[in-house]
Amino acid sequence: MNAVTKAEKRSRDGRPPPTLEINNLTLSLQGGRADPLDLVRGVSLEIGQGQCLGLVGESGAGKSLTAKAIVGLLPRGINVRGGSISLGGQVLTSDRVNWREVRGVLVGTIFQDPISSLNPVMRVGTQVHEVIKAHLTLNKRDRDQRVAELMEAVELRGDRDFLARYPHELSGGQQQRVAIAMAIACDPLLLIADEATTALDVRTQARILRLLRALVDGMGLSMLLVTHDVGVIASVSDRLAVLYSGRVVERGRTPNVLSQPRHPYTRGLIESCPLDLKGGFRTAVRPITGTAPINLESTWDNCVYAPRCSRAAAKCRSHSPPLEDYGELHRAACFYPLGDGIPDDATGRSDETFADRTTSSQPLALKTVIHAAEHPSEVGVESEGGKEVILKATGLSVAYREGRLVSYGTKAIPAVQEFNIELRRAETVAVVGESGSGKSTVALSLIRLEPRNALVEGRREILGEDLDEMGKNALRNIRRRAQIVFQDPYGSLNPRRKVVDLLMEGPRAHALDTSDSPMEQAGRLLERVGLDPSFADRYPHQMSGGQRQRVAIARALSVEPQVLICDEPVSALDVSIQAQILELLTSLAKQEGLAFVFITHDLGVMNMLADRVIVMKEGKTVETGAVEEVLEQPHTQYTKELVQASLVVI
Amino acid sequence: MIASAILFFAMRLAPGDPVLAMYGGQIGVTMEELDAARERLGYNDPLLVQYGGWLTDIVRGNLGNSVVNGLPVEQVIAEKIWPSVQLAVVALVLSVFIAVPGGVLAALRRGSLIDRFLTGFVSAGIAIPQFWLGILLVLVLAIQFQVFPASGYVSPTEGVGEWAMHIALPSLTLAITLAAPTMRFVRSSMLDVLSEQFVDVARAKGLSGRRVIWVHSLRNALLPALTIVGLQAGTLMGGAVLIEWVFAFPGLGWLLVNAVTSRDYPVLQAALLLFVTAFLLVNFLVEMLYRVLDPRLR
Repeated sequence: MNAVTKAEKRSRDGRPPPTLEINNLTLSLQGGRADPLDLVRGVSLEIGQGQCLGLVGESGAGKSLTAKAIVGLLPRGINVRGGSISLGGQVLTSDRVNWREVRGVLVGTIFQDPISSLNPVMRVGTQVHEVIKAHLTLNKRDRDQRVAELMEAVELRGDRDFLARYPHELSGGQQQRVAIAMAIACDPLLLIADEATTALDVRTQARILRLLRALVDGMGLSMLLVTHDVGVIASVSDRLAVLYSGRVVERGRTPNVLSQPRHPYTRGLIESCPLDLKGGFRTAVRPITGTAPINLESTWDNCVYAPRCSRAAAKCRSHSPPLEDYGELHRAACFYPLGDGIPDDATGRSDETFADRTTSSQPLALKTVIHAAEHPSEVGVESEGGKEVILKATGLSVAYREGRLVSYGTKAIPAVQEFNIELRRAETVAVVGESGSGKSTVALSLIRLEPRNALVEGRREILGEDLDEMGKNALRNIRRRAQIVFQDPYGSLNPRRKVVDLLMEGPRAHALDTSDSPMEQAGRLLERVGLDPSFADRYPHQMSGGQRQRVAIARALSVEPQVLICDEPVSALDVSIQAQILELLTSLAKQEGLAFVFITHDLGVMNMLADRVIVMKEGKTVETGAVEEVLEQPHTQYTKELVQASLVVI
Repeated sequence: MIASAILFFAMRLAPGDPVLAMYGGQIGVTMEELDAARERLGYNDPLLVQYGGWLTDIVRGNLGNSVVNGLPVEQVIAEKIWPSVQLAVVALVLSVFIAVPGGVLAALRRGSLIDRFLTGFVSAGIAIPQFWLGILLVLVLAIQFQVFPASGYVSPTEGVGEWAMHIALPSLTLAITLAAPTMRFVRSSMLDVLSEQFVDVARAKGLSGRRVIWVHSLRNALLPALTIVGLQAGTLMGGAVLIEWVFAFPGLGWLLVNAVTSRDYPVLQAALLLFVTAFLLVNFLVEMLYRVLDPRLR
């Protein structure tokens, strides 16, 4: 297809029809069963030219499936069972679609993880070239010219040397820019960005989002932005649709929906987000209870959200609510929408909307005062001297030696330089930085768990004892006091052991008091992390991600530690689940006097939990101080950029 | 070096006497004559001395003479090495041509009839003993239908057609057994690659299905499969002992069996040393090839 016919399509009958029109789309899993299982049901969306629609929802909501259906890339066994998709007037749900004239020509797609989006053994220039070659009849010179234009459009150097590189030789942001260049190479009508910035560092994410928005505005592209991140949606999209369990529960213009959500789930999503949408950080989140349904079969004759909804009544469990109009195309599927004066019956919470509270929310400076008043003893760069120092590191430097066949070479790559920390009882210190800043190395080396090829200098202590001067047994005993919780609750729990065994392994190894039965002890631990004691009998695969992370925390607690080192403990979780875990960690810190070292890339998360913060960049500490001070008045340019990039900009 | 020591001493540990085998069958050989022969050939010296002597000879480029016919070992081996190399190369190429399309097809049509058939082929190829498959092929293709000659070897200089006819059966037998594990490997690594995101991206770019599979997926899928082909090539360089024996194919493997039965230590040692060297060399080459094919390793 060439540019002329596309231009014709765009200008057909004066006022152009929506670029993308999805009508009542139902996607089902056939998979050899008699009744197909609907994963997405009755979804209708519209995107006009030069518009950006945000599709937001948690994992399993069907947002990626919907996006994949547009380009005909649904996974095996999943089919379009009903409804239609049309793009620029062409129906994409018929059997005779020539996908090669749709993909890359009418629709460009960008996926989540930039490094895995590019073929590792092909030069990036070739990968951009081949899209053009596949669709446009241009000679080599014109193609080179086009590639140069594209590179300029995505703000990359387009010289020969750069194009001859392989994907692993580029940074994450550059990789994603190359992916964007491929997606827009043939001047498509629609750009699909499927979690396109999720895997990127916060500053890079902000730049890529700006670039995408500029492309929408500059080229008149339509964009479907698929994400779980309300902040991203708020910054970039014109309209949004909230997907829950395969249904659109609310849609409308982005500012309208976010400032006055009608559906309780939308409000829950907004309130789970550690950033407030007025450009500030929240000090607390309100998580949604429960988890999204896994088995969808029983949920179609009722409101899909009813089991988690505090406003649900009998009607919600027997009827499926239709999308009601609230003006300006703002629609929500709820029998008891927010803003109709009915209070939440379960929590007794008034149905004040998000807008009511955000308008009364304090500017950052004022919030600081409130926060300080809540925790009078915990503010300030220097923690008070009275409390016992639990964990301390002075001048900690870690370098990785390059592996050799027989011995290590003399060259060592520094990962962390001159890191200092002093953590007292009931205190939380966050270590913040982007990928490659050395923050995870810090987490491991604080308790002498660094990899074998690491070269460590400096002093590290737990409860005043030097870890490097300890024998094996002493080290084992002291490590009990400092436990670690990792990012991925799927990888950190042995899949072949029951929860009770996972939890009791530590106490057994350290010969702690075992007068009660293991089941009783495990049950008590599970209750401490907000799980039912009956979970002791389950295997990890029988639990959701949030439940697993709770078990991982319970396991850390099982040996009665005094400090928990948490390495990105919520970044692999859905927002509503993330909020639940954050609430749990906050209560552990407040009620049990535990100290926390909290490794994170997310300033919003940091702000909610930490008293003090250490900002790292490329292994070096660039800034330290009380959280409020650092957020409000960052001293270094780097921290300033981090804070700016983290905030939601509408 | 280590390998040379192992193969030298292992051979001396094996029962049998080269001198006895040398004179085997001759009537009227006295014990004195045998002893004199052992003394002359150095088999009465302490083992370490023998080993040292052998090593220094190797370094000087002298592999000794065959005990059986007195010819220099180099000459004996050189005569047999070409047929074996030809067989190895033909078999390997054939096996790759069977394994790669088969593995790709099985991966693309996962769970289909073709996939199940090819999985059956893989299991059979691994389970069936090589020599038995060889005999079977001889029975069917050489005796029943008389398409190919059952045994022997003709040098390509004497006629390429004849050469191809003679090398067809042994190389086919080898290729089938070699292709089986490779095909399984290609299938599984192809499945891995097909589920990677860049393959989705390539499809989303609107590239032709052919380009997505043969350019984007296959090159990545072949990288891990290269290891197994490299290992196979390494072992093949030493000749396919059983196959050469079954087809009376005058290569290194055949020579090896003869040398064992006649206790021809110098030939045996030299041949084995050659195998080890070839194996290491091929693996080194594969390692280098990896660096060429995978830019991430450069």
